Amino acid sequence: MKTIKRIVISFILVLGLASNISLWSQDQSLSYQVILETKGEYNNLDRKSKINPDNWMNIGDFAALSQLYPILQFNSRSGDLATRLGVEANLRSYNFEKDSTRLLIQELYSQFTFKDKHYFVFGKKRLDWGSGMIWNPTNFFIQKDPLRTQNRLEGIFMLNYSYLFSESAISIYLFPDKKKENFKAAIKYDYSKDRIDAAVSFVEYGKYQQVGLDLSYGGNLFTFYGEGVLRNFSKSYKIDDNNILQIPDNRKKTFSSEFVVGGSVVFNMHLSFRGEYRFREDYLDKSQIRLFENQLPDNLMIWDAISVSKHTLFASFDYRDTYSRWSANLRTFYDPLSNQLIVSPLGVLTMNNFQIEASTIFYNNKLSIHNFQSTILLSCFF
Amino acid sequence: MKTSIAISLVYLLTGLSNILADNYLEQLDKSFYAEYAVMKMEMHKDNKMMRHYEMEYYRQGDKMRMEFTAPATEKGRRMLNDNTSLWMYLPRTSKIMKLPFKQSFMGSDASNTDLMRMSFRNDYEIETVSNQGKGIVVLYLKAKNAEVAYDKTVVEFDTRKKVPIKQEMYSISGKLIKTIFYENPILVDGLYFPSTMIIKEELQKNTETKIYYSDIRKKTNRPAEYFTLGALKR
Repeated sequence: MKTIKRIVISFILVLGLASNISLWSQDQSLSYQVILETKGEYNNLDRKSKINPDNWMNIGDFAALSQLYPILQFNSRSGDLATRLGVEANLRSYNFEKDSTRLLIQELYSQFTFKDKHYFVFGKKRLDWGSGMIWNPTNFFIQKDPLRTQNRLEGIFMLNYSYLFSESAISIYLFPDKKKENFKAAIKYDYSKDRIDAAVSFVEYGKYQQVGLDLSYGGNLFTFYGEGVLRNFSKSYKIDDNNILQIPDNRKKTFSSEFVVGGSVVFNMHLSFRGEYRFREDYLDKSQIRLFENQLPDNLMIWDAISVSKHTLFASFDYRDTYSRWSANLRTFYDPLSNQLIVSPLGVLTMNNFQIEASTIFYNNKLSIHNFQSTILLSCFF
Repeated sequence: MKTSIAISLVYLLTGLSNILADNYLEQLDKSFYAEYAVMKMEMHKDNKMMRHYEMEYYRQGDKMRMEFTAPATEKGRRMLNDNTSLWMYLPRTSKIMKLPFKQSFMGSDASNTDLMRMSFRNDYEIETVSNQGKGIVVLYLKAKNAEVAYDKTVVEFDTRKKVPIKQEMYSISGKLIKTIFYENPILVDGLYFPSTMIIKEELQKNTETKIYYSDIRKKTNRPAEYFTLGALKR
């Protein structure tokens, strides 16, 4: 398997480089960027936490994470044909310990474009589906961290062909996997006209399917969006009415829905608001939450720091200075069934070559490991 | 008979003035039109530079696409405007965000509509034209509908080089909101292009945004699909 992996990576590199070099006499460019992110975190733990009583998880008061992202792109164009080789790596280290250092290839792909209509992608690439800012149910493959949506996420290995029309695009995806049963395929249609964007998607995952719909509308001072899916599988754990834990593979295979609606409003050049509501049909209702609480920490795999139930609300006020050098943000997550509440102020300072983010996350519910977490994150851009 | 001739003359003159007015708006639009340029934007307060950006921009008809090349924190970010909607592509998450049209552009004194403004001809009609001599005319423009960012705008136009010199933007109440100075016209493919724009925000004193255009090309070979949402994230 490692040999196959090496062959595939080499093929992508050779294919991308060769196509770029062959067009060397034409319009070509190499762009690069190196980003270094260093995060320091202080955890104020709730010693009476139902999830982590007496800190049996052994979570330290302090933690640090360093991540180095070297990013390279070779681009070349000759007439109607353009090629790209994209590489993004992630070298990360926890608590500055050498033994914890890991190298991950987040993106490695070759892209061929013909007449800016036909796009072929082969390799590992990030996939962004859905108009939601915090949650994207239509994105089967990658979910963001709601508390830091700008994290650079790992891509997924794919073969992708897209054809672009003047107002729409159709994309076909194949996602090979070393296990045959994990092979996935998808098709997506995007449409954009006037102020409306829409997308319909279909994902086939072995014997499971997901159908998705995404809509957004942009006004002069506001945007509104919604996305939703119907799927006949679950990716989550659940506790049933008989107090039995159900793992995702064993969950009942009926269609269930998940959707997000949200919007943003710009009040003036400094102040804006964003809100989102998420509904997940196959998650816990009120009675199941009580069962879950009473069985802790045995059913720990159900737990989510933000929300364990069907309903989740998000609201955020953002204030920024005139030149977008600094911003102050107040974010709130609330689950009305489990009464999980998170309030998090965030300050961001952005200069030409670095950015500093300072935030504290306050947890106000019994289903939490922390009383609060404070984080400082420094990103340097080269 | 004399009345008929007089009426005919009035119609003729009105028609001619409409054609002339339309020509001014067309020349204005042409003076701004370039399918590629490198832009440098600087934001100043009290004569001190607060932020700067460098971008490449592509345009075709009423569609425009920008890619940020500097500073490092913004590198790789892209914007697309198709004259009805505005989107931003964020490279770190490969995400596309829809933006409100009337939002300030990256914190500058320019709004998104100021920078990506597409057409005087589509947005405004000329109320009056005042001849200042030496080839300079002043055009008093009124917005055709409420969707246009500024209800009234006054443009000082050089009819010899066919470029604007100054533009004042007014709100519905008649308050002066913004003034743009166009400087350093350079010849590109036989037409002058104002290579420097200085935008002064009249409601906040001592702030201005300077935009410098270079490497200007009137025509490129980009196909229409390049200016689509699908291409923006690829």
